[in-house]
Amino acid sequence: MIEIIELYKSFNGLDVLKGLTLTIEDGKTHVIIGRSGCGKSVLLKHIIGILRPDKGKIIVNNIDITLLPERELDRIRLQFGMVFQGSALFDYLTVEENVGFLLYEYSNLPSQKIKERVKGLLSLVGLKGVEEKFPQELSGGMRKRVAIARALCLNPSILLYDEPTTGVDPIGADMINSLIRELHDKLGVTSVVVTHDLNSAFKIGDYISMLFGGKIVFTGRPSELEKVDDPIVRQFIQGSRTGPIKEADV
Amino acid sequence: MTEKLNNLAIYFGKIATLFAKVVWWIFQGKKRFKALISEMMILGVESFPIVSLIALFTGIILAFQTAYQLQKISSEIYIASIVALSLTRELGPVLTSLIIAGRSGSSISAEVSSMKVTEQLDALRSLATDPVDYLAVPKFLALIITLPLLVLYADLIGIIGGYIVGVTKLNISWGLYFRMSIEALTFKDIFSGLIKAFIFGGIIGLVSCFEGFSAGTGATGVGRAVIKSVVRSFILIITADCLLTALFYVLLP
Repeated sequence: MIEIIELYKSFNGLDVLKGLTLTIEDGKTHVIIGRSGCGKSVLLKHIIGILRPDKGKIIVNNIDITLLPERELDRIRLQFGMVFQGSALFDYLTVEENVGFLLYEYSNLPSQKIKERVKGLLSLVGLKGVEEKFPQELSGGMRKRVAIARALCLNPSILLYDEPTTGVDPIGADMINSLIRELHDKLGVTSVVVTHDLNSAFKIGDYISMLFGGKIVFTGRPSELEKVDDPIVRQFIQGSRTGPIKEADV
Repeated sequence: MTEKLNNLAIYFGKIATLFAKVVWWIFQGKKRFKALISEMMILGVESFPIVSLIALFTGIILAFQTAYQLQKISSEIYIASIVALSLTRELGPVLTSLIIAGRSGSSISAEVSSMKVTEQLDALRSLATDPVDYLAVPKFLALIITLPLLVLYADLIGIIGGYIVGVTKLNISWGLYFRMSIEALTFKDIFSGLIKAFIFGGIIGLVSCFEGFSAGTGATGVGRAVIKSVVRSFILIITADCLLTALFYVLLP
C-alpha cells in the first residue's frame, strides 16, 4: 500500500502540492486525473523518490521513503517500474540495452540470458524483432511499449505511468490502455497512472482521483466519478470552458 | 556586490559537492571500463586533429615572434629553448585545455542537459542508478587521463612547429635546435605542465557535467548549459593556471 500524507512541494516560490493526501491500495490501478501542470507528474516523482517533498510523508509498504538516504531509496526503487511521459528511453542504447538496462548494469547474468529475458518482456508488451533498433527509429506508441517493458524488467510490484497515452494516436492509445489493463490482470501489480485522458482513466482505473489546487478533490470508482456533483470535478470531466475552474487555475 | 560574491560561493560549493560525489562514486560505484574507454575516445582521442593543428601553428607563431625580438640582439639560437619552455610550462596545457573545454566540455554539457530535458536523468534515477556514477564519473576520469596525454602530444607538435621555423627560416642546424630544446627542458617543466593539465581536465569534467545536470527546460536550457559550461570552464582554467603558476614558482623554483 502507498500512503501519501499531507504532502507539500513548491518550486521557486510556486506551491504545487498543498497538503495532498492519498491512499493507493495494493493490486489496484489508481488513476490520477487533473489539468496539465497541476502537479500530477510531480506527485509521481515523489512516490518513486526522484523528488523530495518540502513537508509530508510517503509510506510505501510501511516505510516512510521521504526519510531514507539515497542509497536505501535505490533499494526501494527496485520495487517500482516507471514509464515516463516522453518514454525517456536512453537514445544512445538499443531497445535491448534499454529494456535489459538493470540486468546489464547490476546482474551477473550471461548476455544470452539477458537477451532471452528482454525478448520475453518485449513479447509481453506486443513487440517483436526490434531489439537492435534505437529508440529514435520507433514510433511513439512503440517507444511507450519499450518503456513499459523496461519498467517491468525486475518484476516490480508497483508500476507508475506518467501520461501513457499522450502523443499516441487514438488506436495506439487504446492498445496502450489494454496493455496496462492486461499487465495488471496478469501480473497483479499496483499501478498508478497519471493522465488527463479521461477515456483512458475510465478504461483502466479501479479508482480515479482528481488533483486540483495541489490537493486531491475527489477519489472514487469510475462509476462514482460519472455521477459526482462537485462542480469542479464535473467541469473537468465535461471538458467545459465555463465553471469554477478558470483558465489559469491548475 | 555582496549578492554576486554569495552566488559565487554557492557555485563553488555546488561544484565541490559534485567533486566529492564523483570521488565517492569512483571508489564505491561500479567500474565501467567500457564506458571509460568510449569516453576517452570521444573526448580525448578524437581531439587529436584539432590539437595537432593548433599546437603546430602555435609553435610556428611563437618561433617567429621570438625570432623578431632575438634578432635584434643576434640571439636567434635561443628560440629553441624559449619555444620548448613556453610550450611545456604554459601554452601547451592552457591552449589544449581551452580547446578541450570548447570541444569536449560543450559536448558533455549538451549531452547531459538534453538527457535532463528528455527526463532520461530521472529515468536513470528510477532505475536505481545515480547519474553522477553513470555519467559524470566516466567523463571526469576520461578527461583527467586524456588531457595530460594530449598536452604531452601538443608540446611535441608545438616544438616541431618551432623547429620548422628555426631550421628552414633561421638556418639553425637541426642537431643544434634539437639539443637546445632538450637541454632547456627539465623534469619539473614537463611535470608542472602535466599537473596543470590533470587539474584542468578535472575542472572541465566537473563544470560541464554540473551545467548539464542543472540545465533549465527545453532547447534554450540546453543552449544555456553549453554556453555556461564553456565560459565558466575558460574562466576557471585561466584562474587555476594563474594560481598554479604562482604556486609552482614558489614550490619549484
